Amino acid sequence: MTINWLRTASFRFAALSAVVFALCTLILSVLFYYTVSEGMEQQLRERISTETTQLVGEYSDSGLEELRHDIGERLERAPSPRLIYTLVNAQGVAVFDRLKLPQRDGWSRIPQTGKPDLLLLTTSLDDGFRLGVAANTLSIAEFRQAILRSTLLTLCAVLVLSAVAGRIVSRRFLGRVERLRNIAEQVGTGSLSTRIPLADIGDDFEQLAVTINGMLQRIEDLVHDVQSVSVNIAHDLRTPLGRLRQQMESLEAFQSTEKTRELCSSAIGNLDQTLETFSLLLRIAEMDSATVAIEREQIDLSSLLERLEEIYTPVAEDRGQSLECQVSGDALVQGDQRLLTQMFANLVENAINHNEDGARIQLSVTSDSNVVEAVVADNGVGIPVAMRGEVLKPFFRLDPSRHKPGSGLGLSLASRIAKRHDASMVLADNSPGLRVQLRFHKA
Amino acid sequence: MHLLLLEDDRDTADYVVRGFREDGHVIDLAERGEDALMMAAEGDYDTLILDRMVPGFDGLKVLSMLRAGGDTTPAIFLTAVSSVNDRVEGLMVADDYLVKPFAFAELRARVGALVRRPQIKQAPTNLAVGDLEVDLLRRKVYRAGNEVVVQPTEFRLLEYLLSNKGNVVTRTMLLEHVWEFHFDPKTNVVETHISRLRSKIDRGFGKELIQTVRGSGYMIDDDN
Repeated sequence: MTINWLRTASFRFAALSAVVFALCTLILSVLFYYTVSEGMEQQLRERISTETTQLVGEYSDSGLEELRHDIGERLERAPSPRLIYTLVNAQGVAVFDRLKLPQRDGWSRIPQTGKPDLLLLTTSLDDGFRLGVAANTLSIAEFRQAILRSTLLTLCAVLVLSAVAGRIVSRRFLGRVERLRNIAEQVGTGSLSTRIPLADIGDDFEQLAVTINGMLQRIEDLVHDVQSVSVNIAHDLRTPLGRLRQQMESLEAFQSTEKTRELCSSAIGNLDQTLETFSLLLRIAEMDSATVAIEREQIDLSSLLERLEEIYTPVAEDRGQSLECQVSGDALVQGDQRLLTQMFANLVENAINHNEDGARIQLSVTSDSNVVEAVVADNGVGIPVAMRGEVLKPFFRLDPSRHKPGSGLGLSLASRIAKRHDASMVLADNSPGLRVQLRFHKA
Repeated sequence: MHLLLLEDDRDTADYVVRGFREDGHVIDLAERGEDALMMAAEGDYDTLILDRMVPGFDGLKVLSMLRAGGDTTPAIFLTAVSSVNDRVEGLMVADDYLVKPFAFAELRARVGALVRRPQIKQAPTNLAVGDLEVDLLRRKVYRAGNEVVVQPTEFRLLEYLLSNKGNVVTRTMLLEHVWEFHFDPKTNVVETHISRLRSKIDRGFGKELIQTVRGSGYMIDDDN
């Protein structure tokens, strides 16, 4: 299962940064917008006020005619954008730019169709005359538009760039995380000597890799210790038991009564059983050890299973069971003839021993272009689903009282032989019964 | 038989030497590889029984040197090490391989089989005992002149018993040579097939040729 780059921590972090940045940009823009547009409006008012004051002064000093003359001059000479002037007499007749003045004096805004508002200052003169000085707020409006546009653009850019950067960064980190995961998975499937390659970058990922490698080394050492302990136990116990056996044999020869001879015989039988268990344990340890290589020759599983059918049919028949075999032509695999024979014989014997009278046991081999599948199936008792993993562990017995013959190591060894041959072994329900499926790479 | 034993473990040496002497054979003991090498080179033995792990030259080295010098005396390794690879390696120079601990009857039967190994290069076409005849070329079995139909495994079993006519073959030897099983089965494969074979070639023919030797194995012979 690969992680979607959208769900990685680094992408989420990038997304969060983008949102924060966008928010800041927005706040700054808003502040800037209001500050400047306020300033601009203030400036405009001041201009209008100053102008009004000047004109009112003129009127006070020099009278109406001078005022008219002054306004006329301004209209001619003022650079664009110029102020707008209106003079209204007591009868409401307006001259110059002829704005409609409001009833009351003071500041007001005159809306215009299709154009920005006018900012107007109305002042009353003597004799019912009224003066209005206005300016258009086009510049403020334009400023506002500009700010709006640029803020929007910035936000978009921020979001897009963050997304892109976030994707790039998270993909890179995801790559490294995936590599770590692959190595961990490999180790999980048993390849204990795998290590994470170091690239000498020196960052926190490298530190993690170094720590994990250290842990893997420790695990490998521990497993080797355990393996060698079990091998040593088997060896060390076999020797004295072997001697005991030899001594029992000598003792048996000296016995004078049938009864004591039988006791010796029985004791030797028990010893043999114990020694056989140790042999199996050692064989299992051998299979687990990566240092012991196994033979790799071309083995035809079809003929191997056919041979086993021929060998075990009489054994099954004696117990009222039936054994059949169905093979297909080309079933070549790479492996060790003796180990594979042991593995399959083990599975057939399990089917024979653990099932009752009347059970049907079927062997089959099928193959396609890449895979050879061998199946040992019976229609007997089967293994409960919950036990199927446990059953492969050494010494596990389905029967808790452990009365039936066998050491509980058979399936454990069989599964390890399969593993050494890069084959998968699956215990499945044969409804009823057990179905053991082995899949090999075709040779 | 004149035998040479290379073994440094006192208990095992006593066990083996006593066993063969009781059978009436002559057996010499060496505790170090160099001694065994010298004795084998000078003496004339029917079979060499060599422990792989001894001080000095180990059994494998001793035998390799003897073989290199042209010595073809049959040899069997005894060893505590049972790994698949060790066995394969051992069988490249020796003729048989026995893992410790072993039963003396097993060693005795195997040594017997080694000594009897045919020295002639060509394989026989016919094997017989009493009125039982086996045609190896046409894969047919006859008892008292009548053909008896047997399964392939039963044929191989009969062939092996007859190759060791008059001598004991153990269960383990049968498993290795007839079934090519290098492990101990959990079912009575050997007994079942012996029983089937008996019912086909022995029952109803008067004399029972296949005999069970208690504590050792089986034998085919025409005198009781």
